[in-house]
Amino acid sequence: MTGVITLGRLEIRRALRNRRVMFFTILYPAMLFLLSASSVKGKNVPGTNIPYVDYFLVAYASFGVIAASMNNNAMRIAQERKEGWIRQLRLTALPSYGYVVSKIAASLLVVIPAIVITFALGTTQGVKLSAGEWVSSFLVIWLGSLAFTALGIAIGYGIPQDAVQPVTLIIYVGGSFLGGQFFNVSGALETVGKVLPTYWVREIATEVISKQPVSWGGVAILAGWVVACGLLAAFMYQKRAED
Amino acid sequence: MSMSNERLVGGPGVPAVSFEQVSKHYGSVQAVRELSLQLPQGRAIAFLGPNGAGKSTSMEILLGLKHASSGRVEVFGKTPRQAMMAGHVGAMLQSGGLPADVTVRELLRLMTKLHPKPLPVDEVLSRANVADLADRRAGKLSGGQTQRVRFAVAIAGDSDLIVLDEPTTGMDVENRQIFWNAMKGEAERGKTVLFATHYLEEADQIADQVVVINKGRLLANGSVADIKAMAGFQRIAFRLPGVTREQLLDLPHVVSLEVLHEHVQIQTSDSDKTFYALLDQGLRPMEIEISALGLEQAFVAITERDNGDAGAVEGSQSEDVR
Repeated sequence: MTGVITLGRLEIRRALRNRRVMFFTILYPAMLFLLSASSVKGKNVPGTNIPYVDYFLVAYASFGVIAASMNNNAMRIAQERKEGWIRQLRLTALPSYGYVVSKIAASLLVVIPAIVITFALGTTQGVKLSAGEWVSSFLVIWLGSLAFTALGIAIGYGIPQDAVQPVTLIIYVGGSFLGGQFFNVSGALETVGKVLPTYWVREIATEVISKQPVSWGGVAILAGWVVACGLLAAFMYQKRAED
Repeated sequence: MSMSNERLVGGPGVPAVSFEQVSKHYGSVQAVRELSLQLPQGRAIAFLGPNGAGKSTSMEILLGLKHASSGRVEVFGKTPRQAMMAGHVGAMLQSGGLPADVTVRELLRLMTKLHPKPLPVDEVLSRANVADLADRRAGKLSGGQTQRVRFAVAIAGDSDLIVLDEPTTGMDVENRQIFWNAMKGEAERGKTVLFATHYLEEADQIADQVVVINKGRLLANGSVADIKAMAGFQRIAFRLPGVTREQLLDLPHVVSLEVLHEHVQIQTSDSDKTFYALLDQGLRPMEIEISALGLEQAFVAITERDNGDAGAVEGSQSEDVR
Protein backbone atom coordinates (compact mmCIF):
# COMPACT_ATOMS: atom_id res chain seq x y z
CA MET A 1 0.00 0.00 0.00
CA THR A 2 2.83 2.44 0.80
CA GLY A 3 4.01 1.75 -2.74
CA VAL A 4 0.67 2.78 -4.23
CA ILE A 5 0.63 5.93 -2.10
CA THR A 6 4.19 6.90 -3.01
CA LEU A 7 3.47 6.32 -6.68
CA GLY A 8 0.24 8.35 -6.43
CA ARG A 9 2.10 11.21 -4.79
CA LEU A 10 4.72 11.19 -7.51
CA GLU A 11 1.93 11.18 -10.13
CA ILE A 12 0.45 14.31 -8.57
CA ARG A 13 3.80 16.05 -8.43
CA ARG A 14 4.41 15.22 -12.07
CA ALA A 15 1.00 16.55 -13.13
CA LEU A 16 1.43 19.75 -11.15
CA ARG A 17 4.78 20.56 -12.69
CA ASN A 18 3.65 19.76 -16.20
CA ARG A 19 2.93 23.11 -17.87
CA ARG A 20 0.77 21.62 -20.59
CA VAL A 21 -1.44 19.91 -18.02
CA MET A 22 -1.71 23.04 -15.92
CA PHE A 23 -2.55 25.15 -18.96
CA PHE A 24 -5.39 22.92 -20.14
CA THR A 25 -6.81 22.18 -16.72
CA ILE A 26 -6.60 25.60 -15.09
CA LEU A 27 -5.42 28.51 -17.19
CA TYR A 28 -7.34 27.82 -20.39
CA PRO A 29 -10.75 27.09 -18.80
CA ALA A 30 -10.32 30.01 -16.39
CA MET A 31 -9.56 32.35 -19.28
CA LEU A 32 -12.55 31.14 -21.29
CA PHE A 33 -14.76 31.49 -18.23
CA LEU A 34 -13.74 35.11 -17.67
CA LEU A 35 -14.25 35.97 -21.34
CA SER A 36 -17.65 34.27 -21.51
CA ALA A 37 -18.80 35.59 -18.13
CA SER A 38 -18.01 39.19 -18.99
CA SER A 39 -19.99 38.97 -22.24
CA VAL A 40 -23.18 37.70 -20.61
CA LYS A 41 -23.29 39.77 -17.40
CA GLY A 42 -26.81 40.05 -16.01
CA LYS A 43 -28.35 37.80 -18.65
CA ASN A 44 -30.11 34.52 -18.06
CA VAL A 45 -29.88 31.36 -20.09
CA PRO A 46 -32.79 31.72 -22.58
CA GLY A 47 -36.03 30.22 -21.30
CA THR A 48 -34.75 29.75 -17.74
CA ASN A 49 -34.03 31.80 -14.66
CA ILE A 50 -30.45 30.54 -14.51
CA PRO A 51 -27.88 33.36 -14.71
CA TYR A 52 -25.53 32.79 -17.65
CA VAL A 53 -22.57 33.40 -15.34
CA ASP A 54 -23.62 30.45 -13.18
CA TYR A 55 -24.02 28.31 -16.27
CA PHE A 56 -20.51 29.11 -17.51
CA LEU A 57 -19.07 28.64 -14.04
CA VAL A 58 -20.11 25.01 -14.05
CA ALA A 59 -19.45 24.54 -17.76
CA TYR A 60 -15.83 25.68 -17.62
CA ALA A 61 -15.03 24.05 -14.29
CA SER A 62 -16.11 20.74 -15.85
CA PHE A 63 -14.23 21.58 -19.06
CA GLY A 64 -10.98 21.86 -17.07
CA VAL A 65 -11.79 18.65 -15.24
CA ILE A 66 -12.17 16.72 -18.49
CA ALA A 67 -8.69 17.79 -19.59
CA ALA A 68 -7.19 16.97 -16.21
CA SER A 69 -8.72 13.54 -15.99
CA MET A 70 -9.19 12.23 -19.53
CA ASN A 71 -6.49 13.92 -21.64
CA ASN A 72 -3.80 13.72 -19.01
CA ASN A 73 -4.33 10.04 -18.25
CA ALA A 74 -4.75 8.95 -21.87
CA MET A 75 -1.52 10.60 -22.98
CA ARG A 76 0.49 9.64 -19.93
CA ILE A 77 -0.50 5.99 -20.01
CA ALA A 78 0.09 5.64 -23.74
CA GLN A 79 3.48 7.29 -23.34
CA GLU A 80 4.47 5.17 -20.34
CA ARG A 81 3.30 2.03 -22.06
CA LYS A 82 5.48 2.82 -25.04
CA GLU A 83 8.51 3.82 -22.97
CA GLY A 84 8.35 0.66 -20.90
CA TRP A 85 7.74 2.41 -17.59
CA ILE A 86 4.75 0.19 -16.90
CA ARG A 87 6.92 -2.87 -17.50
CA GLN A 88 9.52 -1.51 -15.13
CA LEU A 89 6.86 -1.08 -12.45
CA ARG A 90 5.85 -4.69 -12.92
CA LEU A 91 9.39 -5.59 -11.87
CA THR A 92 8.64 -4.40 -8.34
CA ALA A 93 6.44 -5.56 -5.50
CA LEU A 94 3.80 -3.02 -6.57
CA PRO A 95 0.51 -4.92 -6.82
CA SER A 96 -0.72 -5.28 -10.39
CA TYR A 97 -3.59 -2.84 -9.84
CA GLY A 98 -1.23 -0.33 -8.18
CA TYR A 99 -0.40 1.67 -11.29
CA VAL A 100 -4.02 2.26 -12.27
CA VAL A 101 -5.12 2.95 -8.69
CA SER A 102 -2.40 5.56 -8.31
CA LYS A 103 -3.52 7.21 -11.58
CA ILE A 104 -7.12 7.38 -10.38
CA ALA A 105 -6.16 8.71 -6.95
CA ALA A 106 -3.85 11.30 -8.48
CA SER A 107 -6.58 12.39 -10.92
CA LEU A 108 -9.07 12.89 -8.10
CA LEU A 109 -6.61 15.32 -6.53
CA VAL A 110 -5.38 17.01 -9.70
CA VAL A 111 -8.92 17.95 -10.80
CA ILE A 112 -9.55 19.81 -7.54
CA PRO A 113 -7.65 22.99 -8.43
CA ALA A 114 -9.41 23.02 -11.83
CA ILE A 115 -12.74 23.26 -10.03
CA VAL A 116 -11.75 25.43 -7.09
CA ILE A 117 -9.96 28.09 -9.13
CA THR A 118 -12.88 28.50 -11.54
CA PHE A 119 -15.23 28.70 -8.57
CA ALA A 120 -13.03 31.35 -6.95
CA LEU A 121 -13.07 33.37 -10.17
CA GLY A 122 -16.85 32.91 -10.22
CA THR A 123 -17.22 34.84 -6.99
CA THR A 124 -15.48 37.78 -8.66
CA GLN A 125 -17.95 37.61 -11.56
CA GLY A 126 -21.05 37.89 -9.44
CA VAL A 127 -21.88 34.22 -8.89
CA LYS A 128 -23.78 33.98 -5.61
CA LEU A 129 -24.41 30.51 -4.22
CA SER A 130 -25.14 29.07 -0.82
CA ALA A 131 -22.47 27.01 0.92
CA GLY A 132 -24.51 23.88 0.23
CA GLU A 133 -24.72 24.72 -3.48
CA TRP A 134 -20.97 25.32 -3.77
CA VAL A 135 -20.25 22.01 -2.07
CA SER A 136 -22.81 19.93 -3.93
CA SER A 137 -21.86 21.29 -7.36
CA PHE A 138 -18.21 20.68 -6.49
CA LEU A 139 -19.05 17.09 -5.58
CA VAL A 140 -20.99 16.47 -8.79
CA ILE A 141 -18.11 17.68 -10.98
CA TRP A 142 -15.49 16.02 -8.83
CA LEU A 143 -17.14 12.60 -8.79
CA GLY A 144 -18.18 12.98 -12.42
CA SER A 145 -14.47 13.24 -13.26
CA LEU A 146 -14.25 9.50 -12.58
CA ALA A 147 -16.01 8.81 -15.88
CA PHE A 148 -13.35 10.83 -17.73
CA THR A 149 -10.50 9.32 -15.78
CA ALA A 150 -11.73 5.82 -16.65
CA LEU A 151 -12.17 6.83 -20.28
CA GLY A 152 -8.65 8.25 -20.29
CA ILE A 153 -7.28 4.98 -18.91
CA ALA A 154 -9.17 2.97 -21.52
CA ILE A 155 -7.83 5.19 -24.32
CA GLY A 156 -4.30 5.10 -22.92
CA TYR A 157 -4.28 1.32 -22.88
CA GLY A 158 -6.44 0.67 -25.91
CA ILE A 159 -5.08 2.93 -28.61
CA PRO A 160 -1.59 3.02 -30.14
CA GLN A 161 0.48 5.83 -28.71
CA ASP A 162 0.71 7.92 -31.87
CA ALA A 163 -3.09 7.94 -32.27
CA VAL A 164 -3.85 8.87 -28.68
CA GLN A 165 -3.43 12.61 -29.06
CA PRO A 166 -5.82 13.08 -32.00
CA VAL A 167 -8.39 10.66 -30.59
CA THR A 168 -8.33 12.33 -27.21
CA LEU A 169 -8.58 15.76 -28.78
CA ILE A 170 -11.62 14.78 -30.82
CA ILE A 171 -13.40 13.32 -27.81
CA TYR A 172 -12.40 16.28 -25.64
CA VAL A 173 -13.52 18.99 -28.03
CA GLY A 174 -16.49 17.08 -29.48
CA GLY A 175 -17.72 15.95 -26.07
CA SER A 176 -17.42 19.45 -24.63
CA PHE A 177 -19.16 20.99 -27.65
CA LEU A 178 -22.13 18.63 -27.45
CA GLY A 179 -22.09 18.65 -23.66
CA GLY A 180 -22.72 22.39 -23.54
CA GLN A 181 -19.34 23.33 -22.10
CA PHE A 182 -18.89 26.14 -24.65
CA PHE A 183 -22.47 27.36 -25.01
CA ASN A 184 -25.97 26.35 -24.10
CA VAL A 185 -26.95 23.51 -26.45
CA SER A 186 -30.47 22.99 -27.72
CA GLY A 187 -32.36 21.08 -30.39
CA ALA A 188 -30.57 18.27 -32.20
CA LEU A 189 -27.24 19.04 -30.55
CA GLU A 190 -28.82 18.64 -27.14
CA THR A 191 -30.50 15.38 -28.15
CA VAL A 192 -27.08 13.96 -28.99
CA GLY A 193 -25.48 15.62 -25.98
CA LYS A 194 -27.94 13.96 -23.66
CA VAL A 195 -26.21 10.60 -23.98
CA LEU A 196 -22.80 12.02 -23.04
CA PRO A 197 -21.13 12.31 -19.64
CA THR A 198 -19.90 15.81 -20.53
CA TYR A 199 -23.53 16.93 -20.81
CA TRP A 200 -24.70 15.35 -17.58
CA VAL A 201 -21.82 16.46 -15.38
CA ARG A 202 -22.55 20.03 -16.40
CA GLU A 203 -26.33 19.64 -16.37
CA ILE A 204 -26.58 18.02 -12.93
CA ALA A 205 -24.13 20.50 -11.41
CA THR A 206 -26.21 23.32 -12.95
CA GLU A 207 -29.37 21.86 -11.51
CA VAL A 208 -27.98 21.72 -7.99
CA ILE A 209 -26.98 25.40 -8.08
CA SER A 210 -30.24 26.63 -9.61
CA LYS A 211 -32.73 25.05 -7.20
CA GLN A 212 -34.03 22.69 -9.84
CA PRO A 213 -34.89 19.07 -9.27
CA VAL A 214 -32.00 16.77 -10.10
CA SER A 215 -32.59 14.66 -13.22
CA TRP A 216 -32.11 11.20 -11.84
CA GLY A 217 -32.18 9.80 -15.35
CA GLY A 218 -29.10 11.90 -16.01
CA VAL A 219 -27.45 10.69 -12.83
CA ALA A 220 -28.08 7.14 -14.03
CA ILE A 221 -26.56 7.90 -17.46
CA LEU A 222 -23.51 9.46 -15.80
CA ALA A 223 -23.13 6.53 -13.41
CA GLY A 224 -23.49 4.22 -16.42
CA TRP A 225 -20.61 6.01 -18.11
CA VAL A 226 -18.44 5.68 -15.00
CA VAL A 227 -19.16 1.95 -14.83
CA ALA A 228 -18.85 1.34 -18.59
CA CYS A 229 -15.60 3.28 -18.88
CA GLY A 230 -14.31 1.55 -15.76
CA LEU A 231 -15.04 -1.86 -17.26
CA LEU A 232 -13.53 -0.84 -20.58
CA ALA A 233 -10.43 0.40 -18.76
CA ALA A 234 -10.18 -2.85 -16.80
CA PHE A 235 -10.58 -4.86 -20.00
CA MET A 236 -7.95 -2.85 -21.89
CA TYR A 237 -5.62 -3.10 -18.93
CA GLN A 238 -5.99 -6.89 -18.89
CA LYS A 239 -5.54 -7.10 -22.63
CA ARG A 240 -2.26 -5.24 -22.39
CA ALA A 241 -1.04 -7.15 -19.37
CA GLU A 242 1.85 -8.66 -21.35
CA ASP A 243 2.96 -5.46 -23.03
CA MET B 1 32.17 -15.75 -5.93
CA SER B 2 32.05 -16.76 -2.32
CA MET B 3 28.61 -17.20 -0.92
CA SER B 4 27.70 -16.49 2.63
CA ASN B 5 25.17 -19.04 3.72
CA GLU B 6 23.03 -16.76 5.82
CA ARG B 7 22.09 -14.88 2.69
CA LEU B 8 20.74 -17.90 0.90
CA VAL B 9 17.00 -17.75 0.45
CA GLY B 10 14.95 -20.82 1.28
CA GLY B 11 17.99 -22.88 2.26
CA PRO B 12 21.18 -23.65 0.37
CA GLY B 13 19.57 -26.31 -1.81
CA VAL B 14 17.06 -23.98 -3.46
CA PRO B 15 18.29 -22.63 -6.78
CA ALA B 16 17.85 -18.94 -7.51
CA VAL B 17 16.22 -19.80 -10.81
CA SER B 18 14.90 -23.06 -12.11
CA PHE B 19 13.50 -23.73 -15.57
CA GLU B 20 11.87 -27.10 -16.13
CA GLN B 21 11.01 -28.00 -19.70
CA VAL B 22 10.00 -24.43 -20.42
CA SER B 23 8.70 -23.57 -23.87
CA LYS B 24 7.29 -20.35 -25.23
CA HIS B 25 5.86 -19.86 -28.65
CA TYR B 26 4.27 -16.92 -30.37
CA GLY B 27 1.94 -18.41 -32.91
CA SER B 28 4.17 -20.73 -34.90
CA VAL B 29 7.40 -19.09 -33.78
CA GLN B 30 9.15 -21.08 -31.09
CA ALA B 31 11.13 -18.61 -28.97
CA VAL B 32 12.10 -21.02 -26.18
CA ARG B 33 12.20 -24.81 -26.58
CA GLU B 34 12.05 -27.13 -23.59
CA LEU B 35 14.60 -25.17 -21.66
CA SER B 36 15.71 -26.86 -18.44
CA LEU B 37 18.20 -25.00 -16.35
CA GLN B 38 19.08 -24.42 -12.72
CA LEU B 39 20.99 -21.37 -11.58
CA PRO B 40 22.48 -21.62 -8.09
CA GLN B 41 22.33 -18.77 -5.60
CA GLY B 42 25.17 -16.37 -5.01
CA ARG B 43 26.77 -16.46 -8.42
CA ALA B 44 27.34 -14.04 -11.27
CA ILE B 45 25.89 -15.73 -14.30
CA ALA B 46 26.25 -14.55 -17.88
CA PHE B 47 23.49 -15.36 -20.28
CA LEU B 48 24.81 -15.57 -23.81
CA GLY B 49 23.27 -16.20 -27.16
CA PRO B 50 23.03 -14.57 -30.57
CA ASN B 51 20.21 -12.13 -31.26
CA GLY B 52 16.90 -13.95 -31.37
CA ALA B 53 18.26 -16.89 -29.37
CA GLY B 54 15.53 -16.54 -26.75
CA LYS B 55 17.52 -14.72 -24.07
CA SER B 56 15.10 -11.86 -23.61
CA THR B 57 12.07 -14.12 -23.70
CA SER B 58 13.59 -16.42 -21.07
CA MET B 59 14.34 -13.43 -18.89
CA GLU B 60 10.85 -12.07 -19.30
CA ILE B 61 9.44 -15.42 -18.28
CA LEU B 62 11.55 -15.66 -15.15
CA LEU B 63 10.57 -12.08 -14.27
CA GLY B 64 6.89 -12.92 -14.65
CA LEU B 65 6.38 -10.48 -17.54
CA LYS B 66 5.45 -13.33 -19.84
CA HIS B 67 3.92 -16.71 -19.18
CA ALA B 68 5.57 -19.84 -20.46
CA SER B 69 3.46 -21.77 -22.97
CA SER B 70 4.42 -24.91 -21.09
CA GLY B 71 6.83 -26.01 -18.39
CA ARG B 72 7.59 -24.61 -15.00
CA VAL B 73 9.68 -21.67 -13.81
CA GLU B 74 10.58 -21.12 -10.19
CA VAL B 75 12.50 -18.29 -8.60
CA PHE B 76 13.75 -19.17 -5.12
CA GLY B 77 11.17 -21.97 -5.11
CA LYS B 78 8.28 -19.57 -5.84
CA THR B 79 6.43 -18.49 -8.93
CA PRO B 80 8.07 -15.53 -10.64
CA ARG B 81 5.32 -13.16 -9.50
CA GLN B 82 5.45 -14.39 -5.90
CA ALA B 83 9.22 -13.97 -5.88
CA MET B 84 8.79 -10.43 -7.21
CA MET B 85 6.19 -9.58 -4.56
CA ALA B 86 8.49 -10.98 -1.87
CA GLY B 87 11.22 -8.60 -3.00
CA HIS B 88 13.59 -11.36 -4.13
CA VAL B 89 14.09 -9.91 -7.59
CA GLY B 90 15.30 -6.61 -8.99
CA ALA B 91 15.66 -6.12 -12.70
CA MET B 92 16.69 -3.79 -15.45
CA LEU B 93 15.37 -4.36 -18.93
CA GLN B 94 16.44 -2.80 -22.18
CA SER B 95 12.85 -1.79 -22.69
CA GLY B 96 12.31 -0.53 -19.14
CA GLY B 97 11.82 3.18 -19.75
CA LEU B 98 12.12 5.84 -17.10
CA PRO B 99 9.67 8.75 -16.95
CA ALA B 100 11.48 11.75 -18.42
CA ASP B 101 10.09 14.36 -16.03
CA VAL B 102 11.18 12.72 -12.79
CA THR B 103 14.53 13.28 -11.08
CA VAL B 104 16.83 10.37 -10.40
CA ARG B 105 16.39 10.80 -6.65
CA GLU B 106 12.58 10.83 -6.93
CA LEU B 107 12.73 7.74 -9.09
CA LEU B 108 14.95 5.86 -6.67
CA ARG B 109 12.91 6.96 -3.68
CA LEU B 110 9.86 5.51 -5.42
CA MET B 111 11.69 2.29 -6.23
CA THR B 112 12.78 1.81 -2.63
CA LYS B 113 9.13 2.19 -1.57
CA LEU B 114 8.06 -0.43 -4.07
CA HIS B 115 10.17 -3.17 -2.48
CA PRO B 116 9.59 -4.75 0.91
CA LYS B 117 13.16 -4.49 2.25
CA PRO B 118 14.90 -1.75 0.29
CA LEU B 119 18.27 -0.06 0.61
CA PRO B 120 18.38 3.56 1.76
CA VAL B 121 18.26 5.90 -1.25
CA ASP B 122 21.74 7.29 -0.57
CA GLU B 123 23.15 3.79 -0.45
CA VAL B 124 21.58 3.03 -3.85
CA LEU B 125 23.03 6.25 -5.27
CA SER B 126 26.52 5.38 -4.12
CA ARG B 127 26.49 1.66 -5.02
CA ALA B 128 25.32 2.42 -8.53
CA ASN B 129 27.67 5.39 -8.92
CA VAL B 130 24.87 7.80 -9.71
CA ALA B 131 25.12 10.22 -6.78
CA ASP B 132 26.26 12.91 -9.23
CA LEU B 133 23.02 12.46 -11.20
CA ALA B 134 20.61 12.54 -8.25
CA ASP B 135 18.99 15.87 -9.11
CA ARG B 136 18.91 15.41 -12.86
CA ARG B 137 15.68 14.63 -14.67
CA ALA B 138 15.71 11.16 -16.19
CA GLY B 139 14.96 12.61 -19.63
CA LYS B 140 18.17 14.67 -19.56
CA LEU B 141 20.57 11.77 -19.14
CA SER B 142 22.93 10.37 -21.76
CA GLY B 143 22.63 6.75 -22.84
CA GLY B 144 25.38 5.54 -20.52
CA GLN B 145 24.01 7.55 -17.59
CA THR B 146 20.55 6.13 -18.19
CA GLN B 147 22.00 2.62 -18.03
CA ARG B 148 23.64 3.43 -14.68
CA VAL B 149 20.35 4.77 -13.34
CA ARG B 150 18.55 1.64 -14.53
CA PHE B 151 21.09 -0.42 -12.65
CA ALA B 152 20.32 1.69 -9.56
CA VAL B 153 16.65 0.90 -10.10
CA ALA B 154 17.49 -2.82 -10.27
CA ILE B 155 19.41 -2.83 -6.98
CA ALA B 156 17.16 -0.43 -5.03
CA GLY B 157 15.16 -3.29 -3.52
CA ASP B 158 18.29 -4.99 -2.12
CA SER B 159 16.96 -8.07 -3.89
CA ASP B 160 18.61 -11.49 -3.81
CA LEU B 161 18.52 -11.91 -7.58
CA ILE B 162 19.46 -9.07 -9.89
CA VAL B 163 18.56 -9.52 -13.53
CA LEU B 164 20.20 -7.26 -16.11
CA ASP B 165 19.41 -7.36 -19.79
CA GLU B 166 22.40 -6.10 -21.77
CA PRO B 167 23.32 -3.61 -19.08
CA THR B 168 26.28 -1.93 -20.75
CA THR B 169 24.82 -1.39 -24.21
CA GLY B 170 25.58 2.14 -25.31
CA MET B 171 28.30 2.74 -22.71
CA ASP B 172 31.77 3.95 -23.44
CA VAL B 173 34.75 1.92 -22.27
CA GLU B 174 35.33 3.92 -19.12
CA ASN B 175 31.71 3.81 -18.00
CA ARG B 176 31.65 0.11 -18.71
CA GLN B 177 34.56 -0.48 -16.35
CA ILE B 178 32.83 1.51 -13.60
CA PHE B 179 29.66 -0.42 -14.23
CA TRP B 180 31.40 -3.79 -14.08
CA ASN B 181 32.85 -2.87 -10.72
CA ALA B 182 29.37 -2.07 -9.45
CA MET B 183 28.10 -5.40 -10.77
CA LYS B 184 30.97 -7.28 -9.17
CA GLY B 185 30.26 -5.44 -5.93
CA GLU B 186 26.71 -6.81 -5.90
CA ALA B 187 27.92 -10.33 -6.64
CA GLU B 188 30.47 -10.07 -3.82
CA ARG B 189 27.66 -9.15 -1.45
CA GLY B 190 26.25 -12.60 -2.13
CA LYS B 191 23.63 -11.60 -4.67
CA THR B 192 22.84 -13.76 -7.61
CA VAL B 193 23.51 -11.60 -10.65
CA LEU B 194 22.13 -12.83 -13.94
CA PHE B 195 23.03 -10.73 -16.96
CA ALA B 196 22.50 -11.07 -20.66
CA THR B 197 25.24 -9.54 -22.69
CA HIS B 198 26.65 -9.09 -26.14
CA TYR B 199 30.07 -8.19 -24.75
CA LEU B 200 31.84 -11.45 -24.24
CA GLU B 201 34.57 -9.62 -22.39
CA GLU B 202 31.93 -8.72 -19.84
CA ALA B 203 31.10 -12.37 -19.28
CA ASP B 204 34.77 -13.28 -19.19
CA GLN B 205 35.51 -10.67 -16.51
CA ILE B 206 32.52 -11.02 -14.26
CA ALA B 207 30.77 -14.35 -14.65
CA ASP B 208 31.35 -17.43 -12.49
CA GLN B 209 29.00 -19.29 -14.73
CA VAL B 210 28.03 -18.95 -18.36
CA VAL B 211 24.80 -20.13 -19.90
CA VAL B 212 24.68 -20.24 -23.68
CA ILE B 213 21.40 -20.59 -25.48
CA ASN B 214 20.80 -20.76 -29.19
CA LYS B 215 17.57 -21.09 -31.13
CA GLY B 216 15.65 -21.26 -27.86
CA ARG B 217 17.57 -24.25 -26.51
CA LEU B 218 20.24 -24.63 -23.88
CA LEU B 219 23.58 -25.12 -25.59
CA ALA B 220 26.07 -24.92 -22.77
CA ASN B 221 26.09 -24.25 -19.05
CA GLY B 222 29.32 -24.08 -17.10
CA SER B 223 32.23 -21.95 -15.99
CA VAL B 224 34.01 -19.68 -18.44
CA ALA B 225 36.79 -22.27 -18.56
CA ASP B 226 34.25 -25.03 -19.29
CA ILE B 227 32.83 -23.09 -22.20
CA LYS B 228 36.28 -22.48 -23.62
CA ALA B 229 37.13 -26.15 -23.15
CA MET B 230 33.86 -27.14 -24.75
CA ALA B 231 34.75 -25.17 -27.79
CA GLY B 232 38.02 -26.94 -27.12
CA PHE B 233 40.02 -24.92 -29.52
CA GLN B 234 43.19 -23.07 -30.01
CA ARG B 235 43.88 -20.63 -32.72
CA ILE B 236 46.79 -20.75 -35.10
CA ALA B 237 47.52 -17.66 -37.13
CA PHE B 238 50.32 -17.11 -39.61
CA ARG B 239 51.33 -15.50 -42.86
CA LEU B 240 52.22 -17.60 -45.89
CA PRO B 241 52.54 -15.91 -49.28
CA GLY B 242 50.89 -17.86 -52.09
CA VAL B 243 48.87 -20.13 -49.84
CA THR B 244 45.49 -21.45 -51.01
CA ARG B 245 42.55 -22.83 -49.02
CA GLU B 246 42.86 -26.13 -50.86
CA GLN B 247 46.35 -26.69 -49.51
CA LEU B 248 45.06 -26.45 -45.95
CA LEU B 249 41.76 -28.30 -46.17
CA ASP B 250 43.25 -31.69 -45.28
CA LEU B 251 44.97 -30.58 -42.08
CA PRO B 252 43.89 -32.67 -39.09
CA HIS B 253 41.73 -31.40 -36.19
CA VAL B 254 40.79 -28.18 -37.97
CA VAL B 255 37.47 -26.72 -36.91
CA SER B 256 37.49 -23.56 -38.91
CA LEU B 257 39.72 -22.11 -41.51
CA GLU B 258 40.03 -18.59 -42.79
CA VAL B 259 42.35 -17.54 -45.58
CA LEU B 260 42.59 -13.92 -46.44
CA HIS B 261 45.27 -13.17 -49.03
CA GLU B 262 48.38 -14.48 -47.39
CA HIS B 263 47.01 -14.42 -43.83
CA VAL B 264 45.63 -17.65 -42.40
CA GLN B 265 43.63 -18.28 -39.23
CA ILE B 266 42.87 -21.80 -38.12
CA GLN B 267 40.79 -22.97 -35.21
CA THR B 268 41.80 -26.41 -34.13
CA SER B 269 41.06 -28.88 -31.43
CA ASP B 270 44.74 -29.89 -31.31
CA SER B 271 47.12 -27.12 -32.26
CA ASP B 272 50.23 -29.30 -32.00
CA LYS B 273 49.06 -31.95 -34.46
CA THR B 274 47.59 -29.40 -36.85
CA PHE B 275 50.78 -27.44 -36.85
CA TYR B 276 53.08 -30.47 -37.32
CA ALA B 277 50.96 -31.59 -40.26
CA LEU B 278 51.35 -28.16 -41.74
CA LEU B 279 55.12 -28.46 -41.49
CA ASP B 280 55.01 -32.02 -42.85
CA GLN B 281 53.36 -30.68 -45.98
CA GLY B 282 56.51 -28.71 -46.48
CA LEU B 283 54.90 -25.40 -45.75
CA ARG B 284 56.96 -22.85 -43.88
CA PRO B 285 54.64 -20.18 -42.45
CA MET B 286 55.85 -16.92 -40.92
CA GLU B 287 54.72 -14.74 -38.01
CA ILE B 288 53.22 -17.72 -36.27
CA GLU B 289 50.89 -17.21 -33.33
CA ILE B 290 49.29 -20.00 -31.41
CA SER B 291 46.81 -19.01 -28.72
CA ALA B 292 43.92 -20.31 -26.69
CA LEU B 293 40.50 -19.12 -27.78
CA GLY B 294 38.90 -16.29 -25.93
CA LEU B 295 35.39 -16.78 -24.66
CA GLU B 296 34.17 -14.87 -27.65
CA GLN B 297 35.63 -17.24 -30.21
CA ALA B 298 34.55 -20.20 -28.11
CA PHE B 299 31.03 -18.81 -28.09
CA VAL B 300 31.04 -18.28 -31.83
CA ALA B 301 32.42 -21.75 -32.37
CA ILE B 302 29.79 -23.55 -30.32
CA THR B 303 26.85 -21.58 -31.66
CA GLU B 304 28.05 -22.03 -35.22
CA ARG B 305 28.47 -25.72 -34.67
CA ASP B 306 24.93 -25.78 -33.33
CA ASN B 307 23.64 -23.88 -36.30
CA GLY B 308 24.78 -26.90 -38.28
CA ASP B 309 27.17 -24.81 -40.28
CA ALA B 310 28.70 -28.14 -41.29
CA GLY B 311 31.71 -26.46 -42.43
CA ALA B 312 32.59 -24.80 -39.38
CA VAL B 313 35.55 -25.48 -41.68
CA GLU B 314 33.76 -23.30 -44.13
CA GLY B 315 35.12 -19.83 -44.58
CA SER B 316 35.06 -17.10 -42.05
CA GLN B 317 33.11 -16.71 -38.87
CA SER B 318 30.06 -14.96 -40.06
CA GLU B 319 28.40 -14.41 -36.70
CA ASP B 320 29.33 -11.02 -35.38
CA VAL B 321 28.57 -11.34 -31.70
CA ARG B 322 29.19 -7.72 -30.90
